[in-house]
Amino acid sequence: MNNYIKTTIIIAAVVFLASCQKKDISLGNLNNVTVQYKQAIDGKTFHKGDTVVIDADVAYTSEINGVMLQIADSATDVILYQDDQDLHTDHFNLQHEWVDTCTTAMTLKVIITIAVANGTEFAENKIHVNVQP
Amino acid sequence: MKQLFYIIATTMALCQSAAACDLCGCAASSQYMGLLPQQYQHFIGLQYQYASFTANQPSIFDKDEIENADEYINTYQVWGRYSLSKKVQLFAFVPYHQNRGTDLETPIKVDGLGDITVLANMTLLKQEACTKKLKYTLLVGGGIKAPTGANKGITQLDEEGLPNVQAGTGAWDFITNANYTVSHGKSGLNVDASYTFTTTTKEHYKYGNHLNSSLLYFYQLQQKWVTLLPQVGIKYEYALHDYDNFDRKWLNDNSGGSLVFAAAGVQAFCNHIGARVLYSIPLAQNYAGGNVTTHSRLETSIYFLF
Repeated sequence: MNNYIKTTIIIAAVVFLASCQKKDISLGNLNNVTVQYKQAIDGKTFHKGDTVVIDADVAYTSEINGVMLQIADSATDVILYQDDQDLHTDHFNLQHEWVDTCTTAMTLKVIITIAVANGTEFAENKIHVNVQP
Repeated sequence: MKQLFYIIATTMALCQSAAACDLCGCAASSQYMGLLPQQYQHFIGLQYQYASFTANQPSIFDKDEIENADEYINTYQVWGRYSLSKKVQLFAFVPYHQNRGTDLETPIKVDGLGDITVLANMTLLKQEACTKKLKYTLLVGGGIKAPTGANKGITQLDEEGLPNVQAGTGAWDFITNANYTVSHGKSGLNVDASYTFTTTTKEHYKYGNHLNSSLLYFYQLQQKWVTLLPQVGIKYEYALHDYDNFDRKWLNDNSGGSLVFAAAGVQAFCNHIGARVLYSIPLAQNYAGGNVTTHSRLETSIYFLF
């Protein structure tokens, strides 16, 4: 019977140890999030009918849980375009196209929001482009 | 009394991951072997399991936006037992999955061979001689689940948050289990526990280790040509968090949890034929941070004893 008890204790110990779950401690350091735009260029001017291409490499030292792109009027914060997706990676190439339909001149902000730390923290990167009718 | 013990001399239950996922973990796939007859050494059977769940996952960027998934898991399984000796028994499970549902309004249709499991169990304690005393059996054992089921790795659906409604997990699992059955007269209790140690997939994903346990009360009703075993009890399941990338310790907080079921069913034995129906209703659950709701499960099986 002693052997049974010993075996039970060993199995219980293994299960207990296997239940310890380590976690990436670099989570949540938003300074490690990088966004490198290939397109569009900050400050570039587009005209009505032009296709605004957003092509950016997003990277982080730990897991990226999601990324969102927004194009909004800088003056009013009205969102003209938005898309997001969930991710489970440490790098991602974001590619979107938006056709400029603006009838008035304005400055738009292109915002890329990156969710990290299991979606509890968010890094934001912003550039501006101009549109003219 | 004597007949009861012969019928229920060996009992075991175990759970195995077959179609786990990021949100549902092993909620979709648990397996209970039930009370097995001892007077025959071997058997082969066909089993059908049904499980379903609903996932309501808040969007990362807009908590008011709920991403919904409804999934229905149908598993048809060939399984059997081969007794190597009086004390050692081998079990094998060959599942075939039919998974249906919608995920973010995308239809899900997965058909295919699942992960095959092989187990060895040994009888460590057995008391069967006296008719007026308690009779009991203790089985312990373990085995492996091989990644024989189709697994396409990380798919688009995975990226959107539901990694696995695939037929296979893509990873090896190691299972250990223990089962204790005690009976007196026509009544008996079965206590069972199994623990699954998971490993990583090729993509470094790791499903959480999980514990499955159950406590069942059964009673023998002996008819002329058939033995019926009504049974009621509870089941408890617990799963650790998954890792999106185990090598880098990317713990997925939106996975794992616990479930408690009430279970009721009946088994019947008639000569070389056995059959079983078990229905489980969730009593309490906290899975994937409460974003996943597991519904009732049904399990039926029929087997030929020889």
